[in-house]
Amino acid sequence: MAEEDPAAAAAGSGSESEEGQEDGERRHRQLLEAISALSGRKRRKLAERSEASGQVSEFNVTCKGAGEKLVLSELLQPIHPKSTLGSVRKELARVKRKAAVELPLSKEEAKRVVREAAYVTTSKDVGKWQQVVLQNRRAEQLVFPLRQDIATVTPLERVTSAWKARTPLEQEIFGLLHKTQQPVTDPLLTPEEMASVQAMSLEEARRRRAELQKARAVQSYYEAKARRAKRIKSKKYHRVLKKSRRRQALKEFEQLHKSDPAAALARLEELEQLRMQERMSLKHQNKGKWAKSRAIMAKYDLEARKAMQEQLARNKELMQKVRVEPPEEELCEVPEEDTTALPMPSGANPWMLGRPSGLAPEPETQEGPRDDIVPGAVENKDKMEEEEEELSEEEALLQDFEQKRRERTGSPEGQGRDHGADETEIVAEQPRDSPVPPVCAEELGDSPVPPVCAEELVSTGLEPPPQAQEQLLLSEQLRRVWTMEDVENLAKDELVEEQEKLVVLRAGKQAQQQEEGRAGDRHTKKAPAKRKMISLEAVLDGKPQEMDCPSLPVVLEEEEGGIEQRGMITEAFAGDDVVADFRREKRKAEEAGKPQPVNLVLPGWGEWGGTGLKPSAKKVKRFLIKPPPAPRRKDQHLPHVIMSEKRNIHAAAHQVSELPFPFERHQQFEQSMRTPVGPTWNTQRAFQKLTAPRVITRTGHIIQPISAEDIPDTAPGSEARLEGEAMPSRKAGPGKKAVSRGKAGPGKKAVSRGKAVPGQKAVSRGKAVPGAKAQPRRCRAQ
Amino acid sequence: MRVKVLSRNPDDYVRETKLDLQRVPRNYDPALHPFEVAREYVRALNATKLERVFAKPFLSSLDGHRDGVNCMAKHPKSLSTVLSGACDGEVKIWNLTKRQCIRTIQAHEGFVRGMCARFCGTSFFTVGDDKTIKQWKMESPEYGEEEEPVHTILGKTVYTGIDHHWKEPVFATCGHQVDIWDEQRTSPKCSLTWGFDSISSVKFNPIETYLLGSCASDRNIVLYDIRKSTPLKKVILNMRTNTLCWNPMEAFIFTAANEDYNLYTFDMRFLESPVMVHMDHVSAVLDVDYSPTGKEFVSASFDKSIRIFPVDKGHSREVYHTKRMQHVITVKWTSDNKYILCGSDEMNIRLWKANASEKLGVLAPREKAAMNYNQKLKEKFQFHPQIRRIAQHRHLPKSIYCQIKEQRIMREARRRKELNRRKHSKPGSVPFVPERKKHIVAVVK
Repeated sequence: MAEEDPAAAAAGSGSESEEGQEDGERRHRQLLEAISALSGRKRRKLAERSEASGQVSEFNVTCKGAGEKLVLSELLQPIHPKSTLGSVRKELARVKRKAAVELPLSKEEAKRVVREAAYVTTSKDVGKWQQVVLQNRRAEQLVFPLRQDIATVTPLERVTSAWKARTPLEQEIFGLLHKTQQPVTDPLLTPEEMASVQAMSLEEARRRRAELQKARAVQSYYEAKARRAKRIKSKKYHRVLKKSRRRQALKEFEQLHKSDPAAALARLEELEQLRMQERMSLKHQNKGKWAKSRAIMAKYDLEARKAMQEQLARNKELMQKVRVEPPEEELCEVPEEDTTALPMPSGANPWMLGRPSGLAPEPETQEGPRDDIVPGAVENKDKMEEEEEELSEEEALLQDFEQKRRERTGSPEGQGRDHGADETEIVAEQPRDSPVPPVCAEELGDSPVPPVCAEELVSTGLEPPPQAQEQLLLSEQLRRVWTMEDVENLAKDELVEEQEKLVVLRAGKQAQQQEEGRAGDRHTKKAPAKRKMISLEAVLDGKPQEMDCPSLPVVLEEEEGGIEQRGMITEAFAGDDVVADFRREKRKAEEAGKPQPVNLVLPGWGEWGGTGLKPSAKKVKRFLIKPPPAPRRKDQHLPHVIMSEKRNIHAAAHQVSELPFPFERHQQFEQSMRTPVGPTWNTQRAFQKLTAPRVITRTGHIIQPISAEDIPDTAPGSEARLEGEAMPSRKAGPGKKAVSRGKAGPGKKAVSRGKAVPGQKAVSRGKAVPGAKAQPRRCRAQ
Repeated sequence: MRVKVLSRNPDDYVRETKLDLQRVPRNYDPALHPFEVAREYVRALNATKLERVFAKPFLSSLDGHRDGVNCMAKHPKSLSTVLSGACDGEVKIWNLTKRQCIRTIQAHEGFVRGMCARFCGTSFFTVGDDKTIKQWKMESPEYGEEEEPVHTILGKTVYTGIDHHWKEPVFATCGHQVDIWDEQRTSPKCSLTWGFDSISSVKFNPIETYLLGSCASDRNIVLYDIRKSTPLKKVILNMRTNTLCWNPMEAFIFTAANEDYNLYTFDMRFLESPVMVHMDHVSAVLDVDYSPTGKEFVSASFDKSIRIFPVDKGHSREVYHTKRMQHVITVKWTSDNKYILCGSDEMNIRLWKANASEKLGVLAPREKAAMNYNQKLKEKFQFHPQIRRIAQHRHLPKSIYCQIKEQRIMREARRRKELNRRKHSKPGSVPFVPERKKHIVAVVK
């Protein structure tokens, strides 16, 4: 009840005068309640309204929704019977359902939650660099600075504008400069100079230059084309060309006639003039050398006669003072020029152009009937039609020429290319045929493997190589190395160490061998296979058993009528029997290779001893320990080969004793050794490519830290890509991780490096140097 | 008939200048060039020998400080300028091309604890033992102008380090807490704390510039995000970390120089174990700086030597020392990836080549090609014992040499003891702990 007080006050909205009245009412109600309570039964009190008033007291009417607007739908609702307490009940149920409000987190914990959330988001943010980082780590070559910006030179004005003369000397100098009215600070250039500088901006100049260059290039192309066309010897080509040109001129003239009659008339006049000149020259009378010769020939030669007649006809035509159509004029004019131009030693007669002639080298069946017509004599219409026909044919011809020429020029290239391809194929095949490379060929054949591995490598991500495998990178000593001699001594030390190691090893090995010998042949055969020894020897001089040295000399002998030479050779080497020597040597090697019996007989042990006394046969038999039979020699069935399985100590000092880290199999390593990188074996380009450094920096350039703009695949795209990249989840179990690191990680790397890279190299080399990759063995045999 | 004529393209045999070698047409038939592996091996051997003979990394020493050099800073825009602060509060600016000091400032009373240049290169900041942060102009004062700082901020506690943001006018100091400052204000924008101990170094990430790393003397490394002004994670190591340095090419990688003679490269997303432990020093590592290519870093140690480590290798590829160089306190790799600067106790700054046998100056193209070829050969034959022996040889002073030996013995003994313990206890009760996990005490979220 008490809490109603402030509510009442609020509802009263400052009606102080009514307060007393309300108080009275309340008391009255309390009294009523008390009385009703006395009766023991709870009675629901009815709200009753006593009087109508603008301000409804909260005691009579529920003031819920007092300030709300009246909505029609609400007025309609009471049609449905609805309990007024429904909403309250609902609210109560909801409150009951809710558990007690948790205590706020302690400050420490709250901070921790914030930190964790921040860490997750931040590491996700940073994780977007993952792809870029991986790419850079794996990159064949990185060029720093990543962003190559052009150095900008700040203009002198800007540099000097901030500068002021302070020292007395400077002030004095500036005073002098001012006196002579030199521009000192802001516009460092005089107006004229500025104008001259601005006359042509850099942009404009560049554009201009580009245009000029283009024009020059086009001109040179055109010139080259013209020269080429001029060089073409085919008469037919030129004839056709000329004809087409003539036609072109004709067309142009007609167009001119239509568009600009006055100009056409002038042109006509000109042509007429030309014709007149031609006529004056009397070239077409039978007075020239050629005409005379033709005249002589005309008796016997039908063609010559024809030619004569033609010329006469022409002459007549020219001599006639007829106003002919200007195009004809032009037509006539062109060949005449040719006659003057060409010296014409052979039968190529300009007058015969467009005619079938026996003298012409190529028989021209197509043009024969058509060209019989004397150009001037025919009516215009016919000619036009015919010429159109001709036009198409000529074009075809021209195209034909063009094609032929192209073929002629193109063919050597094409052949060359084919040849090259063949050679590369040969190169590719050769190793497959040859006996050693099967390994590498297989390696190359296995190429589907490395990509997969590479992918896996990607997925493993930043997994670093295991630390356990890592060796010290430096061998630190108290000694200084100053000169080459010192350096060489270093190597010698190494040799001595190596030898010592070897001695120890050999002692151990001998015992082992003996044991193995006992165990049996098969076992011994397997043992060396298991051992992963990379012998530089094998790489250096191939496998001796597989080379057949005599092949080359034998061929030579046969070629040069061998008997004589053979005689000479036998004479020269009469004294030494090489074959027998070799046999002896081999026998010796075999003997040496046999295991020696160990004699443990002590003379005088259990017997009488002294000079001249020999241990008894029984003792000898008992204490002479026979070794197990040696394993079969590999060169048993190769009569002219000695194979030694002894390790050469001198070579051993230079050999790699165990497989280095990134490589997985010794074949890979040998392969990587076998490919030379030097300019002696590679073309310049291949050499440059093979020896390109991993990191290139430019002198005097500051390398800024990487930023989003530096990512090569343009910033927005990469951004999108980076966004998609989720944070790589690390494997949870430490055991698992260890496995993946110990086995898969380095192994894969090894594959990708050992296989793919050398393989690629080999391929690129094969391409660059066709035929350079003939079997390495052959060259060694020589 | 076509007559075949001898025709030669002069391009094939005419040389461009008189000084060029005569051009020789080459036949690449391998039959004509036998023994390729053997010949290349010899070339590689010679290249390695020459590399060792020409390995003279020390270029010069910049002397002029009157106390030990405590900190250095690179100029972000000029390769020839470098700044150094000494233990007597003196700051010097050096010109590397002339190898001269071009400016000297008495910046603080007591140590200059840290210094950094603003990203634009117009000014630099120093903090000192006198509880002040001072901003200085990079240019020397004009005629008649006094040498005084642009701004001075008086703090309540000593600041032990400072680093500037890479893009914005914001810098961070460390001491009792990490403070982020706006250049315009005299009070910090925000202070980041986590635990109560003095923080020795603070570094901004150069790529994701809102990231901040710090290392405190309660053996931990803490990462912060200044966008949310909250610490992110803390990793506690066995011993105190002196400084850390972020990789400038890999946003999430940083390397910490530790008191326990090792350096730890961390991936900030996986702080549970370092990506790599770099061990070779025989005394506390005091400073570390990345090469601008992000492939290597250089570390300065109390053992009077500096070492260069490849990022992905656990051991150093190079060690530099001289007779007179004492404890090296600070080290920097110049931004053109060519030189290394180190400041040491005996008041000198030394300039080294980053690549000991590199030839300085402009190289002719042919020289460059030969260099590349030699490099490639050395790489190719690096596993061959003789070549490795020569390439790896380094001279060490006796003190370091003996310490290395001693530590090797100690390590071996420890290993043997562990082995024995494992052998004589219940299988599985003495677990194998990888080297990377050994040095991490805890990661606090």
